[in-house]
Amino acid sequence: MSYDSSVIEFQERAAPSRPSRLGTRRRKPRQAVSAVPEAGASRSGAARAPSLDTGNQLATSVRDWANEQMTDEEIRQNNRALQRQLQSTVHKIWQDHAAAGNASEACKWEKQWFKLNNCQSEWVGYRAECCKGYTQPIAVPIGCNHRLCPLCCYQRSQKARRRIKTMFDRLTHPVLITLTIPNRETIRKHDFTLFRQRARKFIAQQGGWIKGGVYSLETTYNRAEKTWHIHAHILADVSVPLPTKSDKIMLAGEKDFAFRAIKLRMEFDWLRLWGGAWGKRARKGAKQQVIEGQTYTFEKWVEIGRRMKVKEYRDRAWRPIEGIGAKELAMRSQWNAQNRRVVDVRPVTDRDGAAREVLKYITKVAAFSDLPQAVEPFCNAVRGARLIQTFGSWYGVKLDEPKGEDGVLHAEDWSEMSCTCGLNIWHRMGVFYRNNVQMEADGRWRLKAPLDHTCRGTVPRPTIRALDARKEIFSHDNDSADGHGREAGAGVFEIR
Amino acid sequence: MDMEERLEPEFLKFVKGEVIEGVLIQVKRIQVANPDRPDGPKNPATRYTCLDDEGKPFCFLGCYQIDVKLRPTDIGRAIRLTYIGDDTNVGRNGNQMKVFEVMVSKQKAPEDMTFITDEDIPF
Repeated sequence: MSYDSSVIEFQERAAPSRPSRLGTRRRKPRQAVSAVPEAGASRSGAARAPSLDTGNQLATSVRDWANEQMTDEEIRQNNRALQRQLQSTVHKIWQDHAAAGNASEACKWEKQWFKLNNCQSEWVGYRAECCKGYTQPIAVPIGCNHRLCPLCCYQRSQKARRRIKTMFDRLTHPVLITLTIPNRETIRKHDFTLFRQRARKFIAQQGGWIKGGVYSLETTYNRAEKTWHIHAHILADVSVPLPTKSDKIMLAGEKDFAFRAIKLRMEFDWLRLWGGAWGKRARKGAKQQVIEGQTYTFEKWVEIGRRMKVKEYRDRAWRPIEGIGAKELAMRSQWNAQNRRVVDVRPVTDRDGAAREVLKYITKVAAFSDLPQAVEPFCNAVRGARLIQTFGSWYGVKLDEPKGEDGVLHAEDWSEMSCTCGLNIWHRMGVFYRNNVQMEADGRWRLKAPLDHTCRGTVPRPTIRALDARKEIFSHDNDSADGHGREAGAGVFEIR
Repeated sequence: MDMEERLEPEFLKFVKGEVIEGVLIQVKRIQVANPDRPDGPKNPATRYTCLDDEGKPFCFLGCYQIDVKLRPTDIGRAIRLTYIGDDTNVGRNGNQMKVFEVMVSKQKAPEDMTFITDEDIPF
């Protein structure tokens, strides 16, 4: 079998676009299609038959296909490898501080290393009290809860994603908003505090439109520039859906898309929260004159922004603008850096994707876990910082898995884990070593045979040494020297 | 009976500037051992098997660019991969992203691998 490659017509495959801003990948808006064209109308025109490939399966890349095939075991192996890498990074930081003579920092990082080292080395066994003999006991890992630990991060993200998915039923018009600020060279806890305050203020300013939702603060590290990028993803339920692409309004003297007007307004509000030359938003109940002044300022900003464009849509893509000199381009770029902020707004079409986007902050940190110069400042900055928050109609929703008052997890808390009879009354058995548990084909962890529901754990329970010593003293033979079952002079036990 | 020998696919490792071309016949997920830790856990990878213009099979492992540009539905199409180089701005765990130019034929290869052109049609 052979062929002549010169007669074959090839087409180049492009990688998915990497947008200049973070957030969900921009997708081409779906064309308006009709199932049955009008009489005489050509299907090759605007009214094309709808594709049967509604899931876009034919265009699925090998990468997406491979990710779908990934088993729980493979995911765990990946996370384990990342965790080992993180451990070596933390070890390096620890050793560097120890070598520099910084005892307190060295001690802090030593503790972190031990936490990571012992992560998921012990497991808690649970048996179904309702149907003991019929349901195999399950095992739940004791994690280190380190902010960067990939194993713990994966568990956290899975729990939070399940909770967010249950909230989707409450969403009428879900929208994903991404708020960004320029990259910074250093990162501190104050940066997160400030960002959260501003994000809350921004959401409050959109209060008439945004009913509720959840936002998360995500941090990424640019290895080339050595800068940090803090941004927020907001999954919001809005009262009115975003306008369609065909809706146009007058904005700053020109006809523009209504969607773009909303996006620009949000960007302007976000920009003003960070100070600058554009003033502050008017208070509630401000005079009409003041509100009109705000509109004037906004339209002025839009007008100048139009003149400061550095890219244009050409040949079906955004390309650098042509016909301007380097000096003009540099001036425009500088103006944009000072007076524009990247804000992305899009309606949610894929709810799973939106949940993944909001919860990316949990797992994305592993991308720089091999860099000590990134791990150390990040850990110091996020210590105690809240990175996810519900608001509005979602306020009070707990994204962590709830436990009962007695510490027992009941049916509604176990989500996918179910016992044979369905009552799901799980009771804690004890603590087991890692080699006493195994992952089964369905991804659940269970105790290895011959351990069963009667076992009380393989990890010995910690005892009080004093009690042990006292037991030894009082366990002597009765025919000892004083005849009272203890040696003479041995009335007091020693606590070591 | 005409028999043909089935050969084990030759494993190719890309060198900068190298161009490989063939008809994609299989995409398979495999586990690859880490050479530094032969006893340690294996990492998942994608193995692509192609037939060259002489019908000899060869295979290679996928990377990010190849995995996102090729599709499972490309099986049966001719592909041409050119290893351009490394992107120093993008990387993970100290490894830089390999940049590939991926070309895929618009039509699937027939069973007998003869791609018909206009010249083959006598009228």
